Amino acid sequence: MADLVLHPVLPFLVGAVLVWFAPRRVGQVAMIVAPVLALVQLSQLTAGTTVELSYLGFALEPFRVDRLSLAFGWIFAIAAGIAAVYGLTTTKGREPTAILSYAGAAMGVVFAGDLMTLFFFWEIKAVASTFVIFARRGGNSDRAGMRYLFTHLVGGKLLLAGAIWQQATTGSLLFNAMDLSGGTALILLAFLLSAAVPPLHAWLPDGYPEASVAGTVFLSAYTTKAAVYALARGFPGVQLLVWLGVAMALYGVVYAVLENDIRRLLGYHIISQVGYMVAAVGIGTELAINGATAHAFAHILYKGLLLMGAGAVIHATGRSKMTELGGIANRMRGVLALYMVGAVSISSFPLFSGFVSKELAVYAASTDGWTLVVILLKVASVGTFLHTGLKLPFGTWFGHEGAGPRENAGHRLQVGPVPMSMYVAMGIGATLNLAIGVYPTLLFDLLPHPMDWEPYTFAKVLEKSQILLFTGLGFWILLDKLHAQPTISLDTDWLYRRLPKIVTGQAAAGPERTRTPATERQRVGASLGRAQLRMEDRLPAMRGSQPPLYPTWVLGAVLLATIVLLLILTLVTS
Amino acid sequence: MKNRRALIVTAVLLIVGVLVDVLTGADAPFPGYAASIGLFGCIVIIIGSKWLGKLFIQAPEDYYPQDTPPDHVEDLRG
Repeated sequence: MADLVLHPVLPFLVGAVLVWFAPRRVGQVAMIVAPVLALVQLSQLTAGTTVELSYLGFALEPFRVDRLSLAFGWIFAIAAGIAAVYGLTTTKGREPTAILSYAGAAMGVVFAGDLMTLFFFWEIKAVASTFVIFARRGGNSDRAGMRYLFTHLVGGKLLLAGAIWQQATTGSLLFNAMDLSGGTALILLAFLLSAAVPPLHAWLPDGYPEASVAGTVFLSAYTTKAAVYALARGFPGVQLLVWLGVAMALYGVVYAVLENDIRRLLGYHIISQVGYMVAAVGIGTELAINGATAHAFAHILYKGLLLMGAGAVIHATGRSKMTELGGIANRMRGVLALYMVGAVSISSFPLFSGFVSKELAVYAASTDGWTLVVILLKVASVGTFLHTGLKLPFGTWFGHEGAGPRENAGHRLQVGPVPMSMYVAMGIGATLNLAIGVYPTLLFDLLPHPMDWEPYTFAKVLEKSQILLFTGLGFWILLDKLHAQPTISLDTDWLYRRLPKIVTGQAAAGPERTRTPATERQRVGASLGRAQLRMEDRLPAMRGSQPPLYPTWVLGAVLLATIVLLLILTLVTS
Repeated sequence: MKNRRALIVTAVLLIVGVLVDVLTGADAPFPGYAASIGLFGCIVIIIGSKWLGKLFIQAPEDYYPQDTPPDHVEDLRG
């Protein structure tokens, strides 16, 4: 029990409460101190520590430490520290509370030894991350946040249903590697949704770019990677995952070609990169699990850096679309340089973190005989360099106008100052990416299984260099086709954003449904409507707010889904 | 003019890629393996995605009503 003091969730949750009440200055300090304390705790933890307890007759393991959870714990704490520095001057209102609860819950997921604890933190993570999206209080954050919450609540219910089913059939809630059966299939589905595996992925490119600039950096670190951890813990070696992973890797690349919004483009690349991890988990050998963990670790670092760079552009210019940007390279050289460190890392240039981790994941596939998978993953990595390394920086900082003027005067885009804290955070991220690339042992020592693999052989470096060089050549040849277009891309969220309107015949009506005026409802005279009106009178702030924050439909749908699930469950298991 | 130049540059680089593989005895299924993954992967991804985009993925920015107006209307700095 005493080991619970070392649970890395504690500093985050205490910090989350503290920043709610404390003045802004104290809150800023707490945002930095919480991850640092978590790092200290992690350094004191040893693999094999467990805390067991009995709750309502269930044998639970709320705290379990092994090498897999430690590896994810380390990177989660590091990511929280970097992103907190990044958001030091821009996070506002209740955002810090949401952020710290979110990071803490992700930590809780990673150290959960049983499915009940896992579900508990899983749900906190979903709700807290929704509030991270809401915290921007602008753009589409309210609507996108509700859609995000809706999908994650469905995922959470799948996890709960699966956990109960598992308890009913095996009599145990412990979270270990599972065989596929009815109950575990539901758990797997919940993990796949959270890992953004198509077609269950639309919440990611829909929701992440709608958060604040710092919020998106936090979001990119936790939800999908906690799901990768859960897959690696629960379903290593499930071959379905290999092909799902490959499909993800390519899916993200295709959408990234068409995307105009810079953070949404990077969001599609999260899907693509998580595909490598999911595929590696599906291969399931010790080397592959190491590959998935290493890639998750490196991915959090370089994707955070990329989103910090994109966020700095949005912060300085107020624009997020490539069709609106361009011609600002001379005024944002520092940001461009730091972004490019992330870009060459994700593109797996030798001497940067992505080379070490991605090559490990791909190597694990090749040693296990997955030739076609290896080829497809290499093709996907071509797309990664093409978009994050070439298209995005070209469209964002250069475009038709080239590097642009050195001064704001006379240019259509005014570039504001970028806070020093953002540069510091990006600098730390860039340094870590380079450090892992140059000295991979730093990363290998943290991996769950012993490592005996040399990333820098002549053949591997030569092959990768050729792939990158010829990708650059392809980019140059087809540059005319790569200019961003002012369009959006329809994804599977179409099924719940548009299809219902088409079915109900509202699509042609144009603007989305607005609330029925109160007077009209009164005329209908339903007692329910009057009760609702009375409640509104007590909550004057709600009056006039739009449906997203007044979630009758969503609440109803979620409740209905829950009831149906419970019904099915009682029928199946009785 | 660019087409002609691009063709020459591509041909030269491909030959160099194959030669490098042959001379270094690279462990690849065929000489020029990495070069073709890079070049043809890139071309297939761009052309294929653009084709799919035209087919059904791309839609006008106001496709979902009530979504944020484009950047030139609303400044995101807030």
